[in-house]
Parts: sequence; C-alpha cells; structure tokens
Amino acid sequence: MMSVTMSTKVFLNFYNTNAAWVIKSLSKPHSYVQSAAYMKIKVAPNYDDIEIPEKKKLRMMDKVPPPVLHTASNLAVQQRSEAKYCRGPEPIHNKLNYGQYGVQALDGGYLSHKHMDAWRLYINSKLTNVMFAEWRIEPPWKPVTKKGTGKRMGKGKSSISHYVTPVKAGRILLEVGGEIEYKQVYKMLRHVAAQCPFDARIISAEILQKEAEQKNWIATNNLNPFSFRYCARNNFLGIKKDLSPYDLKWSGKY
Amino acid sequence: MAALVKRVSPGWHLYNNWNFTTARFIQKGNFKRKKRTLTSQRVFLLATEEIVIAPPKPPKDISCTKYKAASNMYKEEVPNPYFEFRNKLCKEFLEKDESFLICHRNPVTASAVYDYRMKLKQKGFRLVFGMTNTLLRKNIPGTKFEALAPYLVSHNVLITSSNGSDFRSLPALLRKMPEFILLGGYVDGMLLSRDNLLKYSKLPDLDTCRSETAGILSLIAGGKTSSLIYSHAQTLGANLKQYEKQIKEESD
Repeated sequence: MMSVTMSTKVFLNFYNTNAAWVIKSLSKPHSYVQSAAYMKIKVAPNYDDIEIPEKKKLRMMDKVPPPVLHTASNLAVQQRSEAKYCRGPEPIHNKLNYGQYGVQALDGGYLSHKHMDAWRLYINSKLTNVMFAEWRIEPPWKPVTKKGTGKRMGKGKSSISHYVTPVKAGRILLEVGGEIEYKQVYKMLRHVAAQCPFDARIISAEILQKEAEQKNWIATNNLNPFSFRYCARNNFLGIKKDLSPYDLKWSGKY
Repeated sequence: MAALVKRVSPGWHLYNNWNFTTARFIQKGNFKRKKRTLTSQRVFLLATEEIVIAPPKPPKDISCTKYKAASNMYKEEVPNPYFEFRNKLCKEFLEKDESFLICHRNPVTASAVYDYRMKLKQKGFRLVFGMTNTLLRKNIPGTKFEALAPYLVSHNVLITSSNGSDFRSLPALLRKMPEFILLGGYVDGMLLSRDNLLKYSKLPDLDTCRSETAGILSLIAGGKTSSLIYSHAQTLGANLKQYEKQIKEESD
C-alpha cells in the first residue's frame, strides 16, 4: 500500500512537469495537415547592382550655419519669414539618387535641428552592415526670430532663436538603401514620416515609376475636354475671382 | 455635469462652434482643420476633373475568398524554377491518363487524414494533396479535362488509383469520410459528375454483364425449345401430342 501511494505521488509530480506536458501535447490531435512533399521556397532577390558608399550613416547636422561673410562683427542677420520657400512643388530634388527607398514630403513646411537629430540617432541605431542612409536636405540655414514671453508688439524685429530648413512638396528628405526590402524599410521610416510637421510618405523606385505611368495614362486617356489650366486661364464661370495666382500656375494642386 | 448642461442649454451649438468662440475659450486640439472651399471652387474642380474609363478587371468566376491570389493569374508571372517544376509534374499527371476523383476538403485533423489514407491504401487508392487548383486550371485548357474547371475552385483533394483498382467501390468508402465531399472526376475515360458517378457505381461488373449478354444470346437461339421443355408436365404432354399429329399429317 505504501509503495502504491509513493508511486502515485511520483507519477503526479512527473505529470505536472514540462516533459509530461510535451508528451501530452504530442498525443493530442492537431488541426493542420502534415505533408512532407513540397517546401515553398522563395527566390532571394538579387543585390549585385547595389553599391554601398563608404560613409553609411547619417552625418550630424549643424544647429547654426557657419557665417557666409567673414566680417569683423560676424553677426547673423535676420531674414523675412518667406513662404515662397515652402510653396509649390519641388522641381529638382524629387527623385531617388540611389534608386531604392526614401521619405518624400507631400506638403511644404520647415524642418528644425530637433527633427534631424532625432531621425539621425534612430536611423543610425537601426542600420546594419549592408545598409546605408543619406540626407537629401541641407542643414538648417533659415533664421527664425522669436519675441520673448510677455513682450508687446512693435519695437523692431526680434533676435534669432533657431534655424530651419524649408521644404517643398515632393522633396525627398532622406534615402535608405542596401540589401533590404520595402517591409523592413517601412518599419524604420514610418517614425520619420509621422514626426514630420507636414504630410510625408515612404517611397520606393517602383512606387514612383507606377505613379508616373498612371499619370501619363490618365493624361492620354482623359475624356474631359475641360482642363483646369485652360478653364482657369480663360476665366470659365468667372472663377478667377476665387482663385489665387498660384492656382493658375500649378493648376490648383498646390 | 458641465457637459450635460452645455448640451441641454439652448445655445450649446454656438458654444461648440469654432467660428463663434472668443480667444479665451478656444482649446486648440491636436488635429489639422482643413479650410472649407467655396462652392464655386468645388463646382469648378468637379467640372475639370479627369474622366477616365478604367481597364477591365479579371472575371469573378473564381472563389471570392482567394480572389486576389487568383487574379494574379492574369498578370505576368516572373519565371520561377520551382513553379515550373511543379507545372511539369502536373502535366505528366494529366498525360498519364489515369482515373482520378476530385473531392472537396473540409477542415480535417491530421490523425483523421492518416486513417483515411490507410483505408484507401488497403483498397488500392492514393490521396493526392499536391495538385493545387491553380496548377490544374493552368494545364487543363485545350485538353479533354477542360470541363472539370468548375470543380477546381475550393480546397480540394484528388484520389487516384495506383493499381488500376475499381472506382465503383469509392462512393461507399467515402461515406465513412464525412470531411471529403465527392464532386466528380475522370473514370475509365469518362468525365463524370457526382450523380453520374453514383449511377456508375451501381452498375455491375464487366464480367457479369458479359455473362448476362451471353446468356441472353444463347436463349434467343434456343429460347422456344427451352421454354417448351421446362414447362409443366401436362402442358409438355399436350404439346408433344400435338407435335405428333402435325408430323403424321405432313407425312400423309
């Protein structure tokens, strides 16, 4: 009797261990169909065409730009807050140099040193040996003035508080490349796009190509004879009263 | 309580409207408020919008659950050696001209599949999971199996015979396998649906049919004499007496 009780205790102790759980789970029926016939092997992409530059990481941007005029005073001069630097489409820096992935601005705005430093630290920590990243924007150069708290209006232009880089719609902010796919890049760059003060998106060369093809196809197969440009310039419906000169220039898109 | 008072009071809709609030009571929320365009601008934008007829989409005769994967059939495929190898196997399978049945596969456990596989093996049949619908649908057009396309839509399983065994015993076997629902197949050079297959399974063997036809043919030759001989004794005696009279009359 004593031996029976001892053996049951030992059995119960074993029954509650991990080994017993594994054996129990093997005896239970599973819901999948096993077959040792075919393995779905994916073909690996070819990265032979990609050239990785020497400097793979994002460089540090200066908070304050170096002085242009080497005068005795070397004082930085205030500038007007001109919106022309943020208005309209980007005509030059709207393509990918390395032809892989990047972040594109969909709207105009200003980027400060805080944005750039945060992105630099995050992206440099996520880069591997077979990846690289590069800036496509200048360091902050445009001075922004700010009045102190509690100050009244007037008494001249205030002093410079910080510097910013103006960005137009369609500009590429930074590029990432290497032996990497879109899904991995998206996880890395979605934070960059979310932190922008304007709308931004993550693009690849395929996306840009598809959009260009779609744009061309729509332009060739458009059945509407009344285009925005023609109707606005010829004042159809008296619409010039409600349009700005930039709508006439950019067909109401910017 | 304050929120309730705001909603119940008569001027609450003015209180919550951004255009009617003063500088002190504005709570700037964390959102981008788009400017409302004028009606004239909206009408102009609609009138000058691009009108384009989109290209036709692939037809919807494919199952809705995997429409995206199936619609890739209409796009250009990148040549993959693995898929080419599977395509080759499928073509060889169809060229063999072996009988096979298509069954719809409901969710089933692995242990049950093992049991069914053993039962079928004992009768000389084989379960095939590797021939997928996409492969078969690609290789069927232009062949005699083209009419089987409506069966290759859902989760399927093929049953073939390795020894040329008789498919008429399968419907009875498949009643013990409720997860496999018979749809149709190619049996003995004929494309059969489910009903036709059940009728075909009720037919007797070739040997029995041959023996029946041989018996019928033999009866035709000597049918009358056998019926006369095997009749009752009284009728046989009467017939024989009549036969004697006929012979006597002919001799006379």
